[in-house]
Amino acid sequence: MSHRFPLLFVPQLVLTEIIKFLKPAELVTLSLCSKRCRILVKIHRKKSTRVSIQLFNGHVPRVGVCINTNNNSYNVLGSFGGYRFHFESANKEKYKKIENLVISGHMITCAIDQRTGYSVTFWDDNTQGLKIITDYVCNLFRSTVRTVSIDQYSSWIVDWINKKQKSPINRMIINDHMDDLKKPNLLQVLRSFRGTEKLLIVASPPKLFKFPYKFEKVSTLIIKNGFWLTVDNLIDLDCVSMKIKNTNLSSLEINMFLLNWMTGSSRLRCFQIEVTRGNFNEVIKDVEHLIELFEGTRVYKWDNIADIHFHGGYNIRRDDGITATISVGPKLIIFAVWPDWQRK
Amino acid sequence: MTSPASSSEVKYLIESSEGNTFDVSGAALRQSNTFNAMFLNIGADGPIPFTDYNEATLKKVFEYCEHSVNEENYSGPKHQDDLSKWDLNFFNEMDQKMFIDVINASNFLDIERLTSYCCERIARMLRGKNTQEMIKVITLPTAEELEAKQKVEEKKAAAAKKVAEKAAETAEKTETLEELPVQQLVQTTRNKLTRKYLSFSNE
Repeated sequence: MSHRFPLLFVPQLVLTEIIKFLKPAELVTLSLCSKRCRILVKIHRKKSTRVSIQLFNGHVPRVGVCINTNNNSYNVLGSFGGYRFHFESANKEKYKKIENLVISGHMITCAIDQRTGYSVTFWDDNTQGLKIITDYVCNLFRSTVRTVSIDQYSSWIVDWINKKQKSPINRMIINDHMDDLKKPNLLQVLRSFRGTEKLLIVASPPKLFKFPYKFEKVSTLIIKNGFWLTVDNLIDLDCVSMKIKNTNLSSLEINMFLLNWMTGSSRLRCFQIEVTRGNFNEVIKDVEHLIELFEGTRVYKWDNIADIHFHGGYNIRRDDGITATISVGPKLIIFAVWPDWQRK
Repeated sequence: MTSPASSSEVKYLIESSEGNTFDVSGAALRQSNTFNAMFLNIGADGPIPFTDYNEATLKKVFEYCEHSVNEENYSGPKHQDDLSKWDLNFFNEMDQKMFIDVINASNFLDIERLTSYCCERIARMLRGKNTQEMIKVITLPTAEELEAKQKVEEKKAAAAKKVAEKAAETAEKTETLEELPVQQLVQTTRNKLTRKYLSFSNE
């Protein structure tokens, strides 16, 4: 059978069916073939709220498409600055099928990254390039940017997205790609984040870094290096689940946080916090009369976090009847409010 | 049109664009949603006219339907790697024109399984390609071809412009003649003739 096919001359229903079989990266490449192809991809790919755009600005700045039906995310276009660096050095071997094409009126060089398999574009100004390809992909898939992954050089992304679209960024990952993340940048990023779903801070800020403001409301908070976090930060947090490692918090400070939960003002469902030294008596100070020993094993499941396994612990009953389990280890304090995600 | 016996053995006559007829089993034909919607309940008195498609295409489509009669109910597209040897041969035997005709006929007859396999096959043709390669596959004109086409069009336009200008000039001349009233024309001719006669008589 021939390997050519006059795609633009088939009936509309067939075209829709063909487009359904193409992966997001292939759709982007097809859309770049001609103006008519771009319009066809845009029209025939159904607009869906399940599709969201991801923007990763780290070691490989790229735009991805996330399709929530199967929870898969696909990288569709990458963007690099410094044409010479990539094509006049050994890096050239990394790319195949190099060609020039036009994206949103800009003539650029494009190639397929041998390792990852998706197309990367090369720009003189990478910031401009990333903006252009993000706009292009958002427009093509008629969706907005919901996930961003940034490093120290890309704090502009959060402001840019906030100005560009009405819907907020749902998920933000602050990477430790550069571990000398500057204090003003992290402050700026955390302050401009209007997220609703997940905030993951992998970055390790400078030793004296503090965040003297209130965090935005977020469902899941994960911090890999939380030494800068104060008990005031914790109490101010409007969060459902959190996992914080390497904090400098003491058991007494966790006790203050626990007492805050006891007042019933928090929507917190679970937390896992690594403390300097776990002291059970200090953690349950002033609530001793409300706890009872729990023996055995219990698994707690919640969205966006790994399962929490309790091997023994103490149940705490709040005045309004809500029960939680707390487990205090040598360095880790685990807390979860029942029932869990599965109503268990 | 139909032969009696059990419903699975019912045969239907199909008419192609050439006017030729051939028969197809009811079981095979029932894979077509178009047929189900149009003829299944009310039946057909004569051959069923699918006259937009030629005999070869229709036979190819119904060959597929006959083959897949005993397969389990269609539940979404199969991956090409899961296709049987028969399926692969079926597709590989077709040339480009036949493939396009089969897709169009399958789309018209609304045979989900066949349409879906054909579409996935086309999608596979585009897999791993960059834009230049895709342009070749989907037979879009390349930049050079577009440029050449534009030049030809420009030449055509220039030639057409020249023809139009000439036509306009001719029309202008005709209009000047047409604009003179008949009496004036007669008078002018008479004057000319008188002058000629006078000059002749003077001589």
